Parts: sequence; structure tokens; C-alpha cells
Amino acid sequence: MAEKSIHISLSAEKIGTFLGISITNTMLMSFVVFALLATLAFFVRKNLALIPGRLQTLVETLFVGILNYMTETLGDEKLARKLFPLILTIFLFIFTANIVEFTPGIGSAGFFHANGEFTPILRSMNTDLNTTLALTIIAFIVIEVVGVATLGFFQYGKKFVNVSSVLGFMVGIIELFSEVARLVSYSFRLFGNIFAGEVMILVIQHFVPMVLPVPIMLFEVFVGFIQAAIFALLTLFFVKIAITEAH
Amino acid sequence: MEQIVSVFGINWKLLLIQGVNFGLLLAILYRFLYKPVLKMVDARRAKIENAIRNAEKTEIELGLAEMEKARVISEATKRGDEFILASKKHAETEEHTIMQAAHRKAVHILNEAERRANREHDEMMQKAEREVARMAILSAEKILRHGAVK
Repeated sequence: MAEKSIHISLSAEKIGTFLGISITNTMLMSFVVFALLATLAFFVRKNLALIPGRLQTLVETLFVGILNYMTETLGDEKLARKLFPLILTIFLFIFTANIVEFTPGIGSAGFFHANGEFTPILRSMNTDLNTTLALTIIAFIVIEVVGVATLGFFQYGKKFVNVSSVLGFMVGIIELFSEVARLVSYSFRLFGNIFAGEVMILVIQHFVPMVLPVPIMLFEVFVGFIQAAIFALLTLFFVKIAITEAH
Repeated sequence: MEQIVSVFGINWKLLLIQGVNFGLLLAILYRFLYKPVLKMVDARRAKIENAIRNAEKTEIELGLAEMEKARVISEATKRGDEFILASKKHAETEEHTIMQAAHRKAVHILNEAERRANREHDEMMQKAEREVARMAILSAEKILRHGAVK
């Protein structure tokens, strides 16, 4: 039977090698997102004026709103200003990747291997655990570094190693586990949501190729926004928890 | 674990590349988006603050100027009134003096005229007396001469 079955690969497909490093389609996609955001940045930068245009007003309103929210959450304007670029970049990177994933050509333009297997050139960035794990590791490192820098090494360490009482010791161990478990929950949450969305659309397209995928895609755009916001907000909240002294 | 890594295609090189990619994006966005935009927002805020402060200052200065104006006007009015009052007083005393002088002069002229009239009158009388005497002598002479002829 020539009936094509749905081919789903959990890992990103390799499309070539460069200097001994295998290039995957999600990696190319992350470069595209990078280029998109860099273009936006250059465009905004070029048209920056004291009397703002429409784009600048939008960008400024967003930035100031986010910065105010961060200052409120962290209760420290200096720290909020320091973390603002990271939090916003996480959001913009994930969000942009999630909303461009439905652009025609992404996931459909590709090439066939000799054995008839299809490999798309571009694949939604967050459907690769490498990307989400990399982001998670960065967020994790930032959280720990900010915690140590704010509280001091020993004060911060007291959260996890507490020998004042048996209960305190147990709580410390649980804290340590939840801290490390974050690495998994963070990366798999984002990966799972976006990957599931892609698979769902693929399946629906397989059965009803015309109208039905549209509302699902709309919903996935919403999910993409929510997941980006969750990733950024959780990073912010965990920083807040990290800089709060242990009781 | 091995299986998870292979199924999800986790590869430390790919992780590193994604991490570097993100870091680079962060750097670029920071340099070209966040920093200039926030700087612009801050600059605008500073400018507005400045403008408001300036407006307040100007208002205070305006109030002071108004007060100064009112003070100057009231002082000028007061001094003008004083000046007018002084002039009036001065004029009154002057008038009085002039009137007095005129009165004195008039009295003097009157006295003089009277005195002169009296003198003229006396002179007239003396002249008349002398004339009467001369006439009497002449008449006596005539009578005597007439008597002698007869």
C-alpha cells in the first residue's frame, strides 16, 4: 500500500553536518527565529525617537508594563532591571518560535530520502528537547546564581542543607529535589505542549485536511503564547523564591 | 536514561549550540532593543519631569512677579498721592503768601495815594492862600490908588 502513514519523530531530524556538528531542522528554525527577532530589534532601534511612533509606543508599553510587573514581583527595581532582558528574551524567543510554526512551508518544505522518508527543512523550534532543555539549563543557572549572589552562598545553601532539626533536614532534601526536578518539568512542559499541538494538527490534517485544522491552529497559537509566558513567569517566580531567605 | 537521550535526540553539542544561540540573541536584543528603548523611556520621563518642574518654577516666579507688580503699583500710588498732597499744601501756602503780599501791597499803595492826595491838597491850599493874599494886596492897591486920584 502506498498509503502514507503519519511519521512522527520525537527527536529533530538531521539535515546535514557542518564541521562535524550535525545540523538539525529545529536548529535551523532557531536561527530563523533569531534572525526575525534581530530584524525586529534593528528596525525598532532605527526608528527610535523621543516622540514615539506606533511600533515604538507598543514596544515601550510592553516593556514598561513587564518591567513594572517584575519590579512588583521581585520588590527590587535594580534586580528587576538586571533580569528584565533575560525574562523578556525567553518570552520573545519561545513566543516567536511558537507563532511562526504555522507559517506555510515550515514542516512541509523538505526533501525525501532514498527510502521515501520525508525530512522537513524547518521544524517548530520547541518540538526539540534540545532547545527547551538548553533554555531550562540557562534559566536554572540564572536562578541559582541570582539566589547565591543575593543571599550569599551559605545563606542560600541553608535552604537545602539544614541540620537544625530532623524536619528541617527533610524539608531541605525535598527542596533540593524539587530544585533539580525543575530542570525536567520546565523542559518537558514546553516540549510536550508544543509537540502535542504539532502532532494533533498533523493527525487532524491527515483526516480532515481543510477547515478543521484552522481553529486548532488558533488554539495552538494561544497555547504557544501561554507556554512562552509560563516559561518566562516561572523563571521570574523561581528567582523570587531563590532570593527569599529561608525561614 | 540512555534510551531517553537517544529517543529525544539529546546531544550536548546541540544543547550548547542552542544555548549559545540564545545567549547571542539575548546580547543582541539587549544591545539593540532593551537598552535603547528603556533609555528612551527614561529620557522621556526625565524630560517630562523637568518640564513639569520648570512649569512649577515658572508659576512660582509668575506669582512672585505678580506680587512684585502689585507692590510696585501700590507704592507708586502711595507716593503719587503723597506727592499730590504735598503739592496741594505747598500751593495753598503759596497762595496764602501771595495773597498776603498782594494785600500788603494794596494797603501800601492806598496809603501812598492818600498821602499824596493830602500833600497835593495842602499844596493847593497853600497856593490858593498865596493867590488870595496877592489878590487882596492888588485890590487894596487899586482902592488906594483910586482914592488918591479923587
